[in-house]
Amino acid sequence: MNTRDDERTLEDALAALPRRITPKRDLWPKIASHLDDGPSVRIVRPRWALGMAAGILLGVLAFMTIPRGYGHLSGSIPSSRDASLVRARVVLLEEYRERLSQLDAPTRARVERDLAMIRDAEKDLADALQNSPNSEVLLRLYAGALHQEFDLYDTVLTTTEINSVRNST
Amino acid sequence: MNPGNAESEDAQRHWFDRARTGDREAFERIYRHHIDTVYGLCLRLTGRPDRAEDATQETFIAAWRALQHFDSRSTVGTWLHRIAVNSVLQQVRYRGRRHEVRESAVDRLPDIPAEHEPPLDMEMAIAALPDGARHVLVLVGLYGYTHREAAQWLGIAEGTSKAHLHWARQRLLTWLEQEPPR
Repeated sequence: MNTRDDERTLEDALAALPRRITPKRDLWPKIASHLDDGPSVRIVRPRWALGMAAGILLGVLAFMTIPRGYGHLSGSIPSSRDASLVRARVVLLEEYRERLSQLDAPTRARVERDLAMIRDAEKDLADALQNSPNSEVLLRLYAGALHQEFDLYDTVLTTTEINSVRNST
Repeated sequence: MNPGNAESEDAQRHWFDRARTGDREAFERIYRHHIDTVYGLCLRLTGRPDRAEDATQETFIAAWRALQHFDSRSTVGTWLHRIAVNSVLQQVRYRGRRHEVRESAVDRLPDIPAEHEPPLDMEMAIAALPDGARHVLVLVGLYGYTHREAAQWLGIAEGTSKAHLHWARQRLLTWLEQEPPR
């Protein structure tokens, strides 16, 4: 495919995306309930994904600032913060697996392959950290790999949510 | 760019003027008329339905409070879109470090070999763009606003807007060279 064809394909793909999308629920009641509030009011609601991401970040930062073993990978007893990270990963992984089935087979295969690559990198880095637990470079690389893993989950969840909204409108 | 559905702009102005007097039913009518385009814009800008819902709600609440400041040279739809962009940007600032982590993580995503790859969903490709590039792509590439408008709304230079769009398109073209859209 030449460049002009690519450009045309991109334009067609963008043009095919819907501009008008109906939210899954009626947002008016909540808006109406805030119309008389003061100017500082901001809508806040529980976001498990955001809360989990914050927990994950704390866990990753703990890895980077408190050198220690990698219990959740090696099987030794994890610290409470490691345990939070492991719990967050388990919950997120369950959600990810459920949503993965909503993707078409080729995309699913590609996502699974990317996840396997990230997991391999995490394992290699965890092994290396067993030998050099205070290596800042390894710690940062490990933290980066963890973020890649969670961002992959996040992207799958986001995509399936958007597709779900589109299909319902 | 003319957001909204078939109801005329004059009719919208009528309901808008009534809303300005504190008429909630008139404001709800404006909401019903524009909700799909405002939510659609927020969904594209944020890439997440939960954030899009929050930004949409904040858009209409902010609009209600700013009714007296409406610039009559603009359409109601464009005015709401501008507020929506501001709501999304506030969300981005609110997310703070989380946002930075996501952008850097996206940049680290592994390069994908060109041969024998399964198709990549266009939504996923756009959602994976860094915030700045995605915002410009959505406003200019999808919703048809000018770089000048996008730059003004996003608080960036017009040249930066063009650079973001070029970068976003190149990134999407790279993907498309590997995978035709479904």
